[in-house]
Amino acid sequence: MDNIYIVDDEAALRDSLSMLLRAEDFNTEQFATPTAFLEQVDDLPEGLIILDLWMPGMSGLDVINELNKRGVTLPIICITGHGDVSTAVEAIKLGAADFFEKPFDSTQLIERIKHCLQEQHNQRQLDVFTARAKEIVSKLTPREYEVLQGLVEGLRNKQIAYNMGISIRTVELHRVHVMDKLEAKSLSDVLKIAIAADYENIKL
Amino acid sequence: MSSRISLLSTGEDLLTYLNNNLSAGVFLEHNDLPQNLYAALEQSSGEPDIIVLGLNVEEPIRTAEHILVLRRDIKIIILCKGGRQNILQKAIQFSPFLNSDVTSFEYKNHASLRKKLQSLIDSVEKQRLYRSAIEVVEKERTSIAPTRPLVANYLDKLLDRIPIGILNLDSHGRILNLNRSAQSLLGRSERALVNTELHSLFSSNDTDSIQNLTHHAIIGDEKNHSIVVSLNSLELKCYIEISISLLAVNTAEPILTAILTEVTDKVLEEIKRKKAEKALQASEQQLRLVIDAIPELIAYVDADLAYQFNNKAFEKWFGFSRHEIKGKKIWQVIGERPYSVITPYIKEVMSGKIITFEEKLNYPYRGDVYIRSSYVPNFSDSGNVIGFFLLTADITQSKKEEEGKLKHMLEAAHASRIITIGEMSTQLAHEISQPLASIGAYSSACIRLIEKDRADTEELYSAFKSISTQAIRAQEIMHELRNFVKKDSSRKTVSVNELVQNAIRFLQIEIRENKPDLSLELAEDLPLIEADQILIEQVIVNLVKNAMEAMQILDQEDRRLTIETNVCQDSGVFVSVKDSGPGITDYEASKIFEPFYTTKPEGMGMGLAIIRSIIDSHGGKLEVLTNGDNGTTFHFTLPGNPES
Repeated sequence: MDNIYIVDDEAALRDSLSMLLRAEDFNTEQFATPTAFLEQVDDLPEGLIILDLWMPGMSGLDVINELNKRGVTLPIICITGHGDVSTAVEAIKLGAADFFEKPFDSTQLIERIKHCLQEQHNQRQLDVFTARAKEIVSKLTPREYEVLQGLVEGLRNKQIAYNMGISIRTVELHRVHVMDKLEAKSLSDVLKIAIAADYENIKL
Repeated sequence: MSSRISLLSTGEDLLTYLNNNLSAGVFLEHNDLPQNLYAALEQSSGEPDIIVLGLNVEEPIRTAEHILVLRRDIKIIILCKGGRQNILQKAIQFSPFLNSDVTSFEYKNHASLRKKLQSLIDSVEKQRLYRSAIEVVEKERTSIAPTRPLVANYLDKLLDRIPIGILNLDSHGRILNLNRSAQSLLGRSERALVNTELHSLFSSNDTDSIQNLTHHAIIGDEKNHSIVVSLNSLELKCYIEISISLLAVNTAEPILTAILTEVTDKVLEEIKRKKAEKALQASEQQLRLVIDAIPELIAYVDADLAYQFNNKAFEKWFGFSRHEIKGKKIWQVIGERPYSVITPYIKEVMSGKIITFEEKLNYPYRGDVYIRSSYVPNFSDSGNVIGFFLLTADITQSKKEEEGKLKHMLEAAHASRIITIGEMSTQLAHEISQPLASIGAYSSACIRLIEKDRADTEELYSAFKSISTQAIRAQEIMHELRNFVKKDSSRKTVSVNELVQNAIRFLQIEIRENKPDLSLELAEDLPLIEADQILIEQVIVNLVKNAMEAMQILDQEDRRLTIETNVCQDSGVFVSVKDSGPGITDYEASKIFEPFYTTKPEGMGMGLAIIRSIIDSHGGKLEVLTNGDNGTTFHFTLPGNPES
């Protein structure tokens, strides 16, 4: 179950949101003040933050700034007061995922929350995949890496062999080792891993 | 007998030269100062036949005159430099005191002078031969002669001493001779001045008037007027009065006497006086303008009750001109009946008191008029009242306005409500979005639970209860908006203690979170008052919420919240909300009720402004007290029920 952290000074709103989200099978946790939330955020498991931008003591924008400073990457959906678009825009610039103006449509809010969580989930998967890809690519020998580069560039074995000044047989042997090491079943798997591992070095 | 030659300021080398080169038997002597020469002449010791005035003699003409006054029959040669001989000769010619024995001689070298002297000595010798024949007779005849020079000497000294410059001029206004005062006045020596045109010494602006003066003197215009001219050649500017008159017509050319008197002090005094006079005039004029600009009637009345002075407003009011009013008695201007009303006040001010009063006067063509007057007595040096100033304002208009004021006040209160609605709208939108958002969330949750068939009655019940609470809150806000524009319709008799309890209940969730040390000091015998229940509840809720927000930064055990109610004067009610927060500065306290003033980053700054307007509309008063280090107290009063 996904965690939703509700940060709002208005008790009724916090309570109603919490109930709504529980009905949607989310785990919810309420925070009445920004300070209370910031005290605990580092120990919280993954989840999504619903943040009221209009709170006494510390503004929602300050909270976002503080989270950015601490490297907390949880997605944030902001709740703003009526007609306070400029603050909302500022929040988006600081990296908030979206904002809702009070009174908001519950269905839309939930859809958005789910979407954000899905995105987060995808991102996490991608992160894991990338990390794994980097790890295994780093285990290739220099010769194997060179062969991999050739594959990514779409070269045939013959061309790779010519470029490297080795025999086609040897290239084929390297290629088998690469497939093995990368645990790839097809050429497309090889390409995915290679791109994920060394995304920035891909020549387009 | 030998001839004597006396040299004055010619230098010793000339003396030596002449001693060696003149014919034998000539006796030479040399003096450096004219005074020595005069002294010698006065003592008659060795009277010289010829006197040579050297180039260094500063006042050759006056010296010559002086010598001739002391001794006649002395030949005088005035040495001069090239080109000056004619000028000097003319001056000699026109001097009334000099005769042909005085000649000028252009000095070129010792030899030429020796030649001149030699010829002079020869003629003197011849004269002496001739004279010796009649000397005996002459001596007897002129035995009383020495008295005359004494008189002339006295006059001469007098001329030098008097502080008036005296100059003789020729018909072209050129200076012939002058006394010492004239030299010092003009700041130049006799040599520089002789034969100079008088007007050239002054500024070119004065040339015409000096020439004019000269002309008048020549044609014998006996009016003898004088002019004042300025002299700029000195460091200080000085003023000189010049008068010119005809001295004598004894020659072909008339001779004029100019008298110069320094009048700098007088002129400067005059300039200063004129300036002061002008400034005084200007300030009087300004004062007059100010007094005329004042819309109140201002006048001064003397001891005979006659007007002496009045301003424009006074003239306008009574329709008389200043000229007509001055000197008239009070009753002649304002009429008998109004006068009889103010008579006691006039008596009072004439006894020396400053008085201010309001009266209703009836003027024939104006009807009833309300006035407010101040009378201020004017005292003489001896302390007697010699009149009084009066300042009167027509307050008829404001009197009438006062009467309509109560009616206005009610209308104004209504108007201010409508105005604050505009100010409230932002706050209102925010307020109402809160319950709406909650209602939306609660109901969506219920729907989802029912859809998923997971609805638990207890949970649904609680949610619906919350929904209804929030709906009521929204309704109340809307209701208040409507009531706010309606006049007093929502006023009912309420117990303020009850309102406080309601507010506390409404804030239960917040109070549970904030956990302040809450103490309620509610007076038991509180009178019931006429008030708008929801609005006053809203006021208390807001003040308590503010107090809790202020204490958020404190540790829980330091948060103390005190709500107190009490009776105040005229069976009104007093409510105070006191927190133990950090407090506010005096500056903040002075600004805190102004719309859009806020210390909260997200605040609109409307809350306290609206609260104040609610309290104001109830005829009460909202105030803030800074408790130093011990937080802030907001308190308000609500006036008592007029019926009870």
